[in-house]
Amino acid sequence: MTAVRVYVATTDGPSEIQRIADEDPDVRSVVCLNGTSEALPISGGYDAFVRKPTGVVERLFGHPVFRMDVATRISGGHSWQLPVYAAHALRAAGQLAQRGAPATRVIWLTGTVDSDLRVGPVNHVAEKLRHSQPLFRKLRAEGVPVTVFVPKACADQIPTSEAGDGDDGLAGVEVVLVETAYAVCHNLGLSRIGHGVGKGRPRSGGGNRSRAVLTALIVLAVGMIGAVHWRAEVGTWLGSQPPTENRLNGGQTVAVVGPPAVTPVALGGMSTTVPAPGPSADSSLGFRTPDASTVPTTTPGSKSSAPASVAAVAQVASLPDAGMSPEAQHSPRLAAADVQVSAVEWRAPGGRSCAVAGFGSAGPAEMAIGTVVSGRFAVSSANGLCTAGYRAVNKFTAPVRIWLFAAPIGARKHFVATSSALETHVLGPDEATTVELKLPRWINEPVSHRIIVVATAEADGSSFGWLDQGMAAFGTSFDFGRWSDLRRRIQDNGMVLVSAVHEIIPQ
Amino acid sequence: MAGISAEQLVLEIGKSSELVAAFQMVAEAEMDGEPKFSPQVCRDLAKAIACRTYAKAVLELCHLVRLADTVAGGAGYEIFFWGAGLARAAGFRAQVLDAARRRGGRIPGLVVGDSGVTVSYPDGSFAVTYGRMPFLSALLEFLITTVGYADADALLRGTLRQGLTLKTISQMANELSRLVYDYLKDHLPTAQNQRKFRRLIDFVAGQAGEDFGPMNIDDAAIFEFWCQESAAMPVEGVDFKTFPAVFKAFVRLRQTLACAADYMAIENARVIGFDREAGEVDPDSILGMIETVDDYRSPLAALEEAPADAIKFLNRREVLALTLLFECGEAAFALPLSLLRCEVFGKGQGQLTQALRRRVGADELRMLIAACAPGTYLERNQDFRDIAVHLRRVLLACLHALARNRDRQAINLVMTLGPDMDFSPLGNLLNVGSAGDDGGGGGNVTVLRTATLSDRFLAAIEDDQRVGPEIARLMGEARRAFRGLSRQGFDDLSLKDGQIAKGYAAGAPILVEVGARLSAFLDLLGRLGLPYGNWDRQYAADKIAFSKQFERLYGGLL
Amino acid sequence: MATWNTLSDGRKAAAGQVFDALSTLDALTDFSADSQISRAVGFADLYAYATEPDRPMDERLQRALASDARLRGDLDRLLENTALYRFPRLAAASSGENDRREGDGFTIRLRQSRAEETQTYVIIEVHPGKEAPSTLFIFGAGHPYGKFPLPAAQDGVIQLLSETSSDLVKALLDVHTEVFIR
Repeated sequence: MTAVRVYVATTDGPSEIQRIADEDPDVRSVVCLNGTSEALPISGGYDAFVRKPTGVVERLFGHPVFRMDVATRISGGHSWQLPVYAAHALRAAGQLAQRGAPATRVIWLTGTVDSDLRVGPVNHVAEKLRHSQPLFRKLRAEGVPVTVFVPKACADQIPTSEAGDGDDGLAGVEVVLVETAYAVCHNLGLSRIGHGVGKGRPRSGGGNRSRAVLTALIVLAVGMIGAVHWRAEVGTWLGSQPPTENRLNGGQTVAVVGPPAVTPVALGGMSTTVPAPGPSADSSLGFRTPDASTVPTTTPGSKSSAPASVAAVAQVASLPDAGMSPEAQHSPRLAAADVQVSAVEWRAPGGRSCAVAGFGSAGPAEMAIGTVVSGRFAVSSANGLCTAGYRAVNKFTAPVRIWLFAAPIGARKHFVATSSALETHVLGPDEATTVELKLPRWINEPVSHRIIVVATAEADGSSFGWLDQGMAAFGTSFDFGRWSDLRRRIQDNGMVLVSAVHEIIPQ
Repeated sequence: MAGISAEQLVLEIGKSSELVAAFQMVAEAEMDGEPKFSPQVCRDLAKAIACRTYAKAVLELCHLVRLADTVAGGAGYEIFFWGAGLARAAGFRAQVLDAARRRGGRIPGLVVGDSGVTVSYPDGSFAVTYGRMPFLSALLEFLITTVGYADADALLRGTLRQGLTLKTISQMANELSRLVYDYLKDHLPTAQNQRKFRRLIDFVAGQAGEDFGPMNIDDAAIFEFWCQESAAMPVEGVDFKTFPAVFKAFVRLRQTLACAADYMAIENARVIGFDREAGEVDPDSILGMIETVDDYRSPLAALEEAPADAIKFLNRREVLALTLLFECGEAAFALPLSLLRCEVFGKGQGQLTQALRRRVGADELRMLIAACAPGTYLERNQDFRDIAVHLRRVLLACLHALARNRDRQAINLVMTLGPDMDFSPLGNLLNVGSAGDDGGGGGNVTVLRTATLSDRFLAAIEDDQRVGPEIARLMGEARRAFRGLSRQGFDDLSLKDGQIAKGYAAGAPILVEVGARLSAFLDLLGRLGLPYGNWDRQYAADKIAFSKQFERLYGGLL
Repeated sequence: MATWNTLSDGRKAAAGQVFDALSTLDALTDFSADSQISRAVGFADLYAYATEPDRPMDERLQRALASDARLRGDLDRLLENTALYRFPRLAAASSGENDRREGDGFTIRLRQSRAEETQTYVIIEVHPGKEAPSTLFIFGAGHPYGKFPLPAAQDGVIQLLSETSSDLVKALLDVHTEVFIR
């Protein structure tokens, strides 16, 4: 059975989180020293970190007051937040190793966590690591794997160790740079972490009759203003692959597939020009598809060009798996694999132009493009290609609300025929929704389409007005900052977020 | 004579009254490791208690307490006195000004000035200066230590009520003074002192007849009194066991008799409320006489006060060595042998009483009785001489410091340290006697501008070409003396400090006075006609006498 | 100089008064090594204890309070004068133990920990508009002066955790204990 021991990094050495226990809701959360009645000065900060509305722990794990025991004093600051978050997540999963109990794994963390679960930078990382070396050595000797989680913004504080300088540095220790707290859970394999209940989000899962009626009304409304293309006869739709990670343990490199970030350019079917982010802007949207060429790898004994020790690799982990509200923890949870995303082409037959192909009975021919591999569809030739379509199918056992969005990347203004498309539906099991992008008449350089799918098992749409509005706002002008906030909120709410890229090249 | 028990001796020797303990607590109060009250404030408090001149001060205190509470915004007066560090005028002033600043420059009910605060009342106002506040703070501390906080506060808190007038405050002050009076009535050693006075008067009258005066109190009389009284059983708390106690008592008697001329002035003064028939004297008059007597010790006291205390002219050992000499005042010159007996054999007796308190064994006690004293008269004489030499060195160093700071005190010091030097070269430097100087009327009229002359002198003071070889040599000595002293304030860097500069200017004339008195005493010791001819033989004879008396006093305990 | 027999009775009496004053001055200011006076506990010690949160009750102060009723009275009065609030003594009709004290602007509650049954939370609620205290004083027949520095208030609540068997908890539960907060 998995038991993970959590250490809080401090400049006086690591402090083990020994225990977390529910406390009387009538008191305030407290951090105590080693089982005694000595409450540490960070207790006030811990209470604020737990309790709603400022805190995240109650929001994620439901209970408002805890007692946490730590082995040694933690004097101040807020860098204890990330390890405390991890400890709560592990406890919720029944995997937190308590004082005196054996641990199958050890994690060491430092970093702040804000209400959006973003991990913030801290100071003295190098000093904290140095003071933890005796612990690391001991665990290495005992054969217990150790993972060190550090805020990505602190990557430059991780010391390098030169071979032969007498300092074993972080040998045998996995170093993971994180930007979100979810990434820690992801690394720990905690897919079923506590799920935050968003503002206005109803506590009870499932809908009642009034919600179903409302949902139907919304569907109708969207259908009237959006571009609804439901082609039940569309061929095989391909699903996305579950994300895996890049992990370097003891010098071994595992294949890298990272969950790409999402950059929807949303709209409800309006034919308006989409702002054209350049390639650099594109990457800043987080639309990354890690592959061997983008992720640094090392072999044991070799130096890494990244500011990391020889035995570690820097990785940016981003998206979480889907989560569920605490009350729904015992029912099947929607996962990315439950939403199948596939692509299809419509080409003008017999060498005709797309403009002609639309007339008469000889309409464009439909062809399946293929499944998504590593967030990519197979590359299409622009020759004769009139329309690219993208479909999402609900392969879950319960109704799923889906937002399906597609837009060209780097679209220029003269591609007036190009439009972005957004569909929002509640799909029953095996039901599908599709969006289509018309291609420009002339393509003399590669064009890429970005496809985004957001899904949730919450059929009641009344609490997703923020997402509707957010994605609709991208219709007229894409705002990177706004997208970044929206993406975080999607992640915080534990919704499924799947994305893919489809490239279309001239001849 | 029957021996006295060790317990009785210890009790009498080490007896401390509750009043003395209370005063000591105030004098030794500390804030952040430093004495809360300055030595001068403590002495002033002691005088106010001894002379019972506290009534006016209690009235001032009541107004100050009201002021303190107002400054604290109604949070009570305690923080003003105990919450803000040392009891210094500057500190109290800072508290008041800070409070005024926090309230936009004005505190209702108070008029805040540069030198003090005026408390406003419907029927008038009352001013308390910042300089007075340390003493009043010490008085409050004494009040609370003796009367108790609960009782004192019950009255003091009454002064914080709204709508009080000068008259009601005055009435409250009277009540508080009554509390002090009741306490002191039970605790002042007046009865003991009066019995002591009686014994001394009776003795001297018995020796010299009723027509005795201060001159009849001499070394022989003091020694005879001690021999006679020390071995007697103590009567009603009067202690004449130790030679120093006897010596001091006679010194005080001499000083008391020397003030007799002032009693006529007291008798003629019209003071309401004092029972002249009963011999009561206006306390302020008593205080006046005490101040006159106390003035003898004032040079040493002044060296411990700002600004002179910025420089370590004399260390603790040197001050202690001179204290008795200065406290005696002119009596030291009338009773030099008794003073030395006090310094030498009195110390020996002190060692004996300490040993008794420690309950030492018989052998050690026997050894101490036989040894009698930790030193000899000649050694004590030499101590005085060493201090005199040190004083000259310090004065030379002062000269250097004053000259460097272009302080005109340097000129006085040159005259003092080298009264026989050749000053004629200064005539050329200062152009004294030359016609036409400063545009005078011509001829023999010379107008001298003092400032210009001083500046000219100070500018040239180390140039032997201009001030002459003797003055230049003196200045060279002064420079070497300054560099040779490694005490606080005696370094070139410190000279740039304004406080240090003021310290030298204040300290120099005090040191001159100290040096003069010490020199005069040493001179007297050098030509004193001793009963046994010289100091060696006198010591040998006195040792036998003191040893014999110590044997009478303490031998029974062996 | 005048001689003794030339002085009138009044002047002789005056001389006696001057001698008395000089002798008293000497007695007060002579802090020689012969003096047996050791530094007793004074008001400054009480003030420091009452007003400095981190100043503990040391052995010297404890001994002095145990043996000096006037000193105890002084401390009581000082605490009352400098306290933010003095909780009224619980009614005699109350049972021997009470886990709640209500005051004007302050409430003290005791709550046993669920996570650790041998420990108890002491919760001080500071009502809006009231200054948060920094020190809690307790005293009573069975509980000599106790002083407990308080952590900072969070949203008007101060919380301490203490062993249920501690002096603090036992004293707060005791209806006869008096409580000051400062």
